[in-house]
Amino acid sequence: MTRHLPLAAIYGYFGAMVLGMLGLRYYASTHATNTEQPIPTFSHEVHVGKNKIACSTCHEFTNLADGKLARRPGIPSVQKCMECHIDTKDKPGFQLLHGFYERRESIVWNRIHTLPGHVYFPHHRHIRALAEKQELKLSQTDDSGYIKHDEKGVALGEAEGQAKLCANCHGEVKYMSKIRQVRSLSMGWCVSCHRENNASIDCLTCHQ
Amino acid sequence: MEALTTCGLASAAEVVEKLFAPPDAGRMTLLKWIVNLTFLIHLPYMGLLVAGTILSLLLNVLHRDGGGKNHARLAKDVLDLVTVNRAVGLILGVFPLFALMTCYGQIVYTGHVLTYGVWLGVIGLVSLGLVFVHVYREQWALRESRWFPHLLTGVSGVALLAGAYLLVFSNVLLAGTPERWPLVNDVTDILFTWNIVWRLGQWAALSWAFLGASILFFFFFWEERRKAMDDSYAAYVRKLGAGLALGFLFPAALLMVLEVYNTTSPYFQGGYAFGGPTALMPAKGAFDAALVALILCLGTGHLLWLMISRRNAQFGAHVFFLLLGVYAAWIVGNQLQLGETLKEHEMALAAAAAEHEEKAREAAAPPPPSDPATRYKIGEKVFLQMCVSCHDPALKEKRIGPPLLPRLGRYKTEKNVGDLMKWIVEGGVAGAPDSAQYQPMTPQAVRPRDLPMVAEYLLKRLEEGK
Repeated sequence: MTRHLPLAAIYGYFGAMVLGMLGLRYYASTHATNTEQPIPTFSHEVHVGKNKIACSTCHEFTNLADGKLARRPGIPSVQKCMECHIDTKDKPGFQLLHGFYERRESIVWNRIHTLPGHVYFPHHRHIRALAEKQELKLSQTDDSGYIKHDEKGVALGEAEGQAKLCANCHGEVKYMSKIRQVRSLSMGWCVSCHRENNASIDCLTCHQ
Repeated sequence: MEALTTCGLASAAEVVEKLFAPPDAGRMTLLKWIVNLTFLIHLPYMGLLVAGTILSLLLNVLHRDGGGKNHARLAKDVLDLVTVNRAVGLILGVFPLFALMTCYGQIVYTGHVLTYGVWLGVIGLVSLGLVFVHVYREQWALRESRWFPHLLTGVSGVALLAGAYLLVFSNVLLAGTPERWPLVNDVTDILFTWNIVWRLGQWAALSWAFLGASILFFFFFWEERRKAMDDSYAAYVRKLGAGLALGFLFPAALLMVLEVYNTTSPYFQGGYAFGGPTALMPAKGAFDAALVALILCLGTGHLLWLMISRRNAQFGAHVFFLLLGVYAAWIVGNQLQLGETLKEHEMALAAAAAEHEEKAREAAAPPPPSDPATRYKIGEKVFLQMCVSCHDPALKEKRIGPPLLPRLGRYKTEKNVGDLMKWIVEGGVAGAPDSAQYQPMTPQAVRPRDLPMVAEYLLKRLEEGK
């Protein structure tokens, strides 16, 4: 019996490693973020990359200039999609969107970027801080509603600049047909960015 | 390129820009396969060389301290086995590094200039390390008379090679973590993370196990070498080879599980990464490759135990090839993980490559027509293709975009034709009092050669008032 013990130990050890890896694989497949969306043809690559639409056009609460900046970015309603796509009913790839619109149903998008409940994350503060750091000027209008221009005649409010700001945490969305999480959003990552930018690393800053 | 310029490495970035062109999707796939194959040739050999030289040094010291004659004999035999000759050192040790530098240069094109610079440093260190190891081997006869210098050349060679592979793993990890690129300013920023330690540790463990398997294979399956061994030496070599292979297989398997866990754990809710978080995305293929490697480890462990318990070297070749399989699975798994994390970067490269091709096409195209009627027709064609999905073709009614006739008035003078072209390609909010009724205009991807013709066409329509 003792003659077989070493062999049993070898099988036990490597078997445990194989089982551990199978467990990790299963855990990853069930817990990793689901990137499938209810409208599979929707592409940020087309909207942001090809058509250069500013993030705040659809995620309205990310606009620094119009006073609507809020703790959450705002997921666009079907109505928002329809502002541009009302005439696209017969085009291939748009039937699902129009189905939601006609049924007066909301699109329940799968959330990609999630933070645990014990993390306080105000989106607007990060936008303000990053805009200040990167010296970005987003959509500035004067009292009569005209877009302000800088001395070179460039409109103060450009999609590229905003996308660059958002890319700090969301990656280069303009190249993503499907949104993926490209930053770990782990505590270490948050803290290293806070350190890098001289933001507070006090526990209560994020764990209120 | 921006990451480079923020690092104050603009001139180096310009050199890189001139050396490489943005790779397209097909070339990226080819480059990844070349990297896989090159690593498969290079890493096992260099692991064997480093582990073999360390073993030779240890046995050499043991013999000097009064160990048996088998120690000295094996110290020399192992050194001969792993160094082979200078040509093999160049072919398997140095040349692949040039291939890897070129491939990584293309894969992380415009990513971070350190990934090129570090490869150059690695080539220098590995070359120097190989020279020291070969000097250590060639001065074997002098070891009695000049013991310390003899030992020092071997130790220096190992130290240089170990330093070089610390850089290799740091660099490969940097290439696979684009989010770190803006934070890295110099080489000291990439030298130490726990993830590098796991990877280096795994390479070391695999290399020692592979050294054991290679000793079994090359000593017992090559007729001449087998015949030259007496029974006492053969038993000693078999025991040491099988012991090394089995002993290091245990940590190699554990480190493999830890490495996969470590690279994927931030994506598990509440997951914890040993040694600090990484930003790698879990690639399903990486799990599968690690599973294959672990199953092969299980089989190898079984055969090694049989060799030890039956006191023969019957399964030496099986063990050697199974461990080569473990190496291959580990390398492929790592490359799959790298591919997953570089997806975003690759998409940026594909866009750059498409732009590159478009510019080349533009340059090769005949000059735009000068005949006004043809220019009008081309302008009309582009207008109908690109503008009428939002604007009324008659330019009078409000649609998704505003009626164009009232808006075009401001572009009447020659100076403003340029402004109109700029507006078409850049878009934005017009800044008119009724702009709030409309979405900002999206920039239109009109080809530069067509752009003046569209602007002229629109101004012609304005003149005609229809």
